[in-house]
Amino acid sequence: MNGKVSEKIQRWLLFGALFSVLPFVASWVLWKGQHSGKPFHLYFLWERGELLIASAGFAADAVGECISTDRRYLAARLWAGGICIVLLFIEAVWFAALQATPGAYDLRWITGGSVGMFLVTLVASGICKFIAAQADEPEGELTS
Amino acid sequence: MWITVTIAVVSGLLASALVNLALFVRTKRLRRASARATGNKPALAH
Repeated sequence: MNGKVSEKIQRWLLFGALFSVLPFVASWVLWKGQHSGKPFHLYFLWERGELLIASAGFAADAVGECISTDRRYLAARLWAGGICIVLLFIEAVWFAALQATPGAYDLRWITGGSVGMFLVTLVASGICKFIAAQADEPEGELTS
Repeated sequence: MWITVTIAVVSGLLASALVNLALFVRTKRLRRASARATGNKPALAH
């Protein structure tokens, strides 16, 4: 991986992935401030699937990056982008289901599922970004 | 039931993404090795 690709991936990790969970960190800090001494559960932060919105956001960003480059590495980009689209679809449907029927799902499932989807989307989007960044490199530069 | 299906699908997607990445990196390495072996050295990366 050369400097430009590494820089793009790091920029995405910082501004795409890390900052997307910043609202939840702020929620956690506020909750701790208001309920000092009470036990904290992760589902307080995304009990209605809010983490799925963040995941869907950076999956969509990765798909956009993947389809906007030229025709190099077309098969790899199609696979990476297609996987992100399917993940995006699952997240959208699941979030809609959580909004439509509040309280119908076990909070442990929502928490575990949201975190699982977030991590899987993070990996899939990272792969998408990596391949798109490689495809953006000028022809003739072999960097991996 | 649908939870099991979703877990299976998402696991499959993750596995596919990782296999895709592995194949992509391998192909690039093979291309680079082939270019070096035939003497068609590409322009150096900046």
